[in-house]
Amino acid sequence: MPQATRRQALVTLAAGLTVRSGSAQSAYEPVTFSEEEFDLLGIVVDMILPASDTPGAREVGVHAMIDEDLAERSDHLGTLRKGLATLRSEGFADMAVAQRTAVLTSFEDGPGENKEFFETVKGLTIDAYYSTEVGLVQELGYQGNTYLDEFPGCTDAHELEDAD
Amino acid sequence: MATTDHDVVIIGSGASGGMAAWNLTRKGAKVLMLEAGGRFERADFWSHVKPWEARERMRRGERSPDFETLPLRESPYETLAGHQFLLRRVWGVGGKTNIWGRVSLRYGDLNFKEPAIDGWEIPWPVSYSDIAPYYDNVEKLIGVCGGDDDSKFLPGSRHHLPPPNLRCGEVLLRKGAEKAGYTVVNGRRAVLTEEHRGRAKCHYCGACGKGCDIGAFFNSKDYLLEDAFATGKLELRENAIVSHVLTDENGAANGVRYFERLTGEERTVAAKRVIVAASAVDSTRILLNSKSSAHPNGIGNGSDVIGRYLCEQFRFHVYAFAPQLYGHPSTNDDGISGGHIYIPRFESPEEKRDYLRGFGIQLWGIGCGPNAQFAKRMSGFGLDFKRDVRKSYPALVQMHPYGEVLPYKHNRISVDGTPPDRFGVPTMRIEYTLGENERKMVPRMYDVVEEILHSMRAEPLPYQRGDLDELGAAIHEHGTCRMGEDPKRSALNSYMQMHEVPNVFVVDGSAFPTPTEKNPTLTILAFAWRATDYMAEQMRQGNI
Repeated sequence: MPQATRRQALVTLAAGLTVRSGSAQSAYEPVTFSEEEFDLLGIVVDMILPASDTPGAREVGVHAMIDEDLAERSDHLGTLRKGLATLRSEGFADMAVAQRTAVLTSFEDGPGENKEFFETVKGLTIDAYYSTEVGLVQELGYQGNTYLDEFPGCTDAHELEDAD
Repeated sequence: MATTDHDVVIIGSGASGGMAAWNLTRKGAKVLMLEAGGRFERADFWSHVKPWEARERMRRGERSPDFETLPLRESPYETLAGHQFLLRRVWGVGGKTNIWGRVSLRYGDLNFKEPAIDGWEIPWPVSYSDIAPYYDNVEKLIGVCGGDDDSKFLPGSRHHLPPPNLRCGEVLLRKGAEKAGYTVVNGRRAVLTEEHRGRAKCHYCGACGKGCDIGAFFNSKDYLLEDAFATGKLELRENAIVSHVLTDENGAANGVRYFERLTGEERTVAAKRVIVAASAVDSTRILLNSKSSAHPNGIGNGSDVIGRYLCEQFRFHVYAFAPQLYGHPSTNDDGISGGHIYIPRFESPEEKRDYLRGFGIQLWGIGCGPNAQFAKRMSGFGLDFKRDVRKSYPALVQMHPYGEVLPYKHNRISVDGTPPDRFGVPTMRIEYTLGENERKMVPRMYDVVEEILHSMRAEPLPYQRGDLDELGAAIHEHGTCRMGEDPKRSALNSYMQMHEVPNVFVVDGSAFPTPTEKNPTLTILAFAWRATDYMAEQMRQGNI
């Protein structure tokens, strides 16, 4: 991809991700995957970390972050392409959630390339989602990387028996 | 060779080179220091860039300091199939101390005595009592926080700064380990938990690995070179990649050859005395490449020990959850980054051991961190999975045992027959495998980890017993230019002076005959201080 086009795509991505709405991803033009692959990837990452009381992976642009990262380093790309092609051939995009769950469960439990695809996309989704402010702060409650005068440490009494 | 005003040329600006420059300049010596890389500026560190801000910055084309890729580009190394070795180096002023783990554990009397007792491979030429005063000196100078514990395996110190409070997961781990009969002590790290010698104290941002924006942990640039520059006696040349120590017809060192990294120009500086302090592996490369008619096997290497006996530690990582903390409100668990507790090496008299030496257990990565990588090891996906990750996040605990790798002759660095770097200088080949002793230690390490996790009722994430981290990953290379009493079996005397070339000293970790189970930087600083005390006295007496 020519440098100017790629930069433009990243600028578009940056703009799109500041919008907290379901239409955020429509602003992003994939630079690594085809439009069809990218849409499918969006469905998969949202199956892994869906919206709950916090936004899901697609809404925060996890599929765009993966697309962006794989433009820089191509490891995992073959695995992802192959897995997405398999999902397409199975009509994944047109399935109901229960069917999609069954397919991904069979991937996770099964051997070979499908399992590798699942583990890879799950890992990339976890890395991306929990690096966002939504994932790390809103979802997990991360409070770190700040300035403290003293480090309080554990202020509650915890006993081993608390596990009972 | 041209004459020189410098009394000493030091190769490398990390912990050992920095200490040598600090100690010699304050004693009045004029020092020229050669550093292979450039300079890292505190203001450029991304210490306070949040993960989501990092992505935004990257999109704008900004980059955090690149600490590690320069040496791989300029001086790559090769390994043979089945001999993989992960070599991590930092070229640039301060070297690895810019981003080091900061663990500062004294070696014990037993660590120094054991090789003489068990015969692997040569005895240390010093005892704990020789080096103890230097541990005191170093701790007073750089500031090390820790507890008041004192044992055979981990000697105490009267100079520790206050230890940081424990995280909840550490409180539970300590209770579990103690219930199982293991001693747990405060971790010891070169982090300022209070103001020390005019330096600002830690503000607990947890980002030490990105470089400290206020210099609140020991690093060579702020803590040693700054003082050395203030004497007016230190000259530093950056981007000077040293290839050879040069010698006269009698075999004495009389210069250093280096290449200007930015222009590629070859340069030679005259030297009355040379200190090699480029970190174990690069120092070894330089010494082995420094061949002459007087030193056909590399400078000071008539014994053929230089390059051999490469050793460090092997380690593995087990992740688990403390169920007592499931669903607990998230806390700021940054602390001084890294574990606030440590399980020192131990032995119980009734225990039957079929291996030599031992291991200690580090416990970093406990509590609420800046990612959720642990979730990759949890099964499932979807809403339940997301809920489980949130519930587990505050409960994460980790155990990281470090075992000593014995020095073996066949574990080695060599430069013969390797492809040259862009200056035409041979690069390195590293051959490294574990032996029978290490393989016997691994099951015991897993047993202890499992015993402690069971005792604290922890729920481990899936792991494979016997799995190890990549060899080299501890970044504690030793052995390849070892000190000893016997010149046939060692390259340096106890003052890190070459047996065969009295005006060359090698003051980094390559001088250690064995790695112990502990992180070495505190001990490297102590030895480099002792060596340069001796060197300055020898200079004063006109012996070198």
